[in-house]
Amino acid sequence: MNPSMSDRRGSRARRRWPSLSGMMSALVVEQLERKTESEPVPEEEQSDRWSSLLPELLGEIVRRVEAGCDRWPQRRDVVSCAGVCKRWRVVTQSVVRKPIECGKFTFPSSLKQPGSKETMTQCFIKRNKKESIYYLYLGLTHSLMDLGKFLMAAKRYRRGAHGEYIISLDVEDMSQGGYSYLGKLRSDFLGINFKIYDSQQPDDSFKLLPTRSGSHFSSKRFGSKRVSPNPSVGNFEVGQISYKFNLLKSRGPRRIHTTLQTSSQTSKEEDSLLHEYKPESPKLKPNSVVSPKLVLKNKAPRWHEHLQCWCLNFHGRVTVASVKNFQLVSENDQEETVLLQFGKVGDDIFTMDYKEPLSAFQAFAICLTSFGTKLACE
Amino acid sequence: MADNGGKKITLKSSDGEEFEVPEVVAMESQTIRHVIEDVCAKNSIPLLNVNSKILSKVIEYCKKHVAAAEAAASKASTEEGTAAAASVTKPSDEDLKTWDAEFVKVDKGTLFNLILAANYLHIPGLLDLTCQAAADMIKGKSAKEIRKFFNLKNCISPEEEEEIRRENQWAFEEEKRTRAFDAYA
Repeated sequence: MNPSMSDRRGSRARRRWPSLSGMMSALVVEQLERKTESEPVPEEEQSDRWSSLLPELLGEIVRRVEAGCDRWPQRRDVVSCAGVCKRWRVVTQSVVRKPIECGKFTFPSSLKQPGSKETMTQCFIKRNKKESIYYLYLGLTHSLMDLGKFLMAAKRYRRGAHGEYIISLDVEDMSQGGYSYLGKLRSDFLGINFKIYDSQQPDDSFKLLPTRSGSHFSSKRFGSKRVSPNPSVGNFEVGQISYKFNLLKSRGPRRIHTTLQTSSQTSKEEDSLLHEYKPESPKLKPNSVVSPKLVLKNKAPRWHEHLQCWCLNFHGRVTVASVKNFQLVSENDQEETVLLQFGKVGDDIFTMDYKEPLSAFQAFAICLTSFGTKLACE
Repeated sequence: MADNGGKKITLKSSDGEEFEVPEVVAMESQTIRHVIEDVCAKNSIPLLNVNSKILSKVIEYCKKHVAAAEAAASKASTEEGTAAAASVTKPSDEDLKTWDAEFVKVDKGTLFNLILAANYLHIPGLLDLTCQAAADMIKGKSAKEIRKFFNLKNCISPEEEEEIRRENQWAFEEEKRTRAFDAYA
């Protein structure tokens, strides 16, 4: 039972009246007789009355809808509730908790919010080599044969001397100005230095995705052929990844160094891992917010003399040896808690597990860097 | 239910119908309970926000739940040992759940009024039951279907509409993706 509801009702009824019985009776009767907003209506009009439902009561209903769909695809019922009308939207947004608290994805905005602190969020990536498209899914069961919940996709493009992965909510819309654009990953020619760009300011990611103001509608609405990015959707540098030269010059493990800008809203304990992040991109305005940064490095595998290979403990989530496989830990963490783990389980299928303070978007972008040859690195 | 001639109270609906019920049944409503407790005994309590059709349903619910609680309490006290008592109360819990499920099989207009009445009269069990029934009606419906079902106006701004379309496309994506994968695989 919702305590706030009963408190509100109970406190009103529990008020102790003075013991003047005549006045008391009149006052209490008046309370009962006072018309509330829900006046009795004829039967035929009753179906119209749902629009007048008190927000608290609507909240009671939506809360039960949310509690009843923990997993996808049922969880789309919550998204449906958020799309009914303004009032339902507000109520639904207030009912849903962030991934860091409940470990669940609900809206696309969940993709840029930090994952659960306690457990690793288990995802998998499917690769379409021919089209250079990578699909990220949330694992719904332990079996990788199941479909999973689609989260986002990336497509690789050649841009002159650079490579670029455009990351989007919609495989069929990979344009930077598109409605579904989330961000991109840019690599240098050698494929060893990368930058992650977010379509939004990092601390905006807690709001739902940006919308267009009246003057910035995309080409779709006006039917023009504009290709340039929509002015109200930016590209904010939020991370850098570098692959270090392998001095052994053999197929030894890669060394990965990652710097990420994280939201200032992650848990306080992570503060010790964070310093200030100073992106190099000149596009940022001088007075832009400098957010805490997270520095990650990959956990060094051990050489297994008996098996004659480099080994990391992936806890069963990685089953095919590959130079792409890695585990990332915070540079400052003595205990080397794995924050991101990526590895091959089949020809074109890889697992990706991550936890707070990383978000799904950040984790996916980092994993994408592992694809593609790294010249001068191996 | 044991009708031991306990105190009765009259509840009067908004359309003037009177219902005489045992006080203990009426006290399922915390609102009414406080009227009875705080005020000197009243013979008749007017409930201007509940019509007779809904009030009779509410009373039916309260009667059933009071009876179930009394039956469980008396069985527990007569059975020897807690293990036996536990095994006896379980079937009646199931019966009550079944009864509750049937009770809320009403049209949505009635359900709406039951929710309001449960809230107004402060009957936690009934509020939980009716809100859950409404939630069950929502399951599996798209935003458009929900809107149509509850006859709600769509007052979303164009900006929000874009956001909602994106959310829904993403949430309902799998149908599209399955087709894309079939083509790819």
